[in-house]
Amino acid sequence: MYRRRRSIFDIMREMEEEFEEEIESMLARLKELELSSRCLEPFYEFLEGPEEYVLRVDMPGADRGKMEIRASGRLLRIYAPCNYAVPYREGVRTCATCYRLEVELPGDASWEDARQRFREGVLELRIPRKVREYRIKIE
Amino acid sequence: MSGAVASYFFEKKKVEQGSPIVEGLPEVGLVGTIVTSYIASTLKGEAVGHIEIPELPPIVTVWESRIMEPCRLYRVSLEARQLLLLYSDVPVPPKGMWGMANSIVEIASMIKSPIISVGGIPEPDRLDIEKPKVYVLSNDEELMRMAMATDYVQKFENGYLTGVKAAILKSAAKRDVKVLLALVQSHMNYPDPGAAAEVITFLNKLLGSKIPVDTLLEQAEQLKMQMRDLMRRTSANLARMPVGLQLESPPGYIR
Repeated sequence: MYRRRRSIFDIMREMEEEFEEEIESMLARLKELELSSRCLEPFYEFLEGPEEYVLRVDMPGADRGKMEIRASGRLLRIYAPCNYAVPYREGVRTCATCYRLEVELPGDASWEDARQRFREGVLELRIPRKVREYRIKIE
Repeated sequence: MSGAVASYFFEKKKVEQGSPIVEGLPEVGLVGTIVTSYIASTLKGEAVGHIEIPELPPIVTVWESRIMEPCRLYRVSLEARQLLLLYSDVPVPPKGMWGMANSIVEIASMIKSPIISVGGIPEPDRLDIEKPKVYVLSNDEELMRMAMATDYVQKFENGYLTGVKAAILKSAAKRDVKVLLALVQSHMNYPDPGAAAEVITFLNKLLGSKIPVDTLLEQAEQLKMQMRDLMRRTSANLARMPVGLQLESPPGYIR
């Protein structure tokens, strides 16, 4: 009994399909979470600079005055109520009323001197990195 | 793969020959999507066709109990001419981009129309830019001259283009179709109505139209919220493409 060996293209195709399935299930899980919690998970980007970390969070319609930013250990929690309820889709009555985000930052993030600004619905946090540089003397 | 054509339906009789096609498929910052959907809704566009998105399972859009194709062609009337708008409710997967581009070029060739492809260029410092710049590129000298004569844009000189726009340029070269690319500095992962407004202002200058952008800017917040799901899907799609290339510059030694 001979068994046909799978070609590298079959393997790659399978991997691609698995990847697509994973993305699809991730998107569905995110949406389910938003629907059940009535809270939107905002889009964000995290940039790592040599001296600071930059976190940008897109929260259109967020109520700036009621926004809460809390840091504990390496965990950053952002909560902001929306100025108006966001309907999910036709037929679904539940509406999102807030944004909620939890991000784990690297250990050298220094919260004490963090700066923030909120512009055009985007919250930007600039968090300095703790300096761990030592100058080595050249003799 | 590059020769594949996605199936399409198009009411040719309803469209005047030479009417520019504005392509605004979901990509960086959803700029094209915002531009085409805003123009179509402001000028009460009429659906005149659709393109099947290749490599996707069957999907239909339902809006106000109407069953629609996700990727639709709208016709709008401007002052002295017609405009065709290509809009999609779902992003085109990377594997389907050639087929989609070939269909757009085939339709343009059929009605002897130029393609105006609009979109965003990822700009990391977009938050600090009050008025994003619009860059243009064309495979036709006359179109390029007209775009530059608006005094509102800059030439796209060095860089890379990826995705449907790159495929349209390549496909158009084979069919002798004129293409003008208008790309604006935009957020990469968030919908960017401000950048879309700049593209519409440029289109107004290019086409001699008066599409108001104030309403778009007033509705920016709601629009961003409405487009969240599409943006999330588009970002997942872009992650499979070399979008980072658009931030790089070519080596440029060999010309």
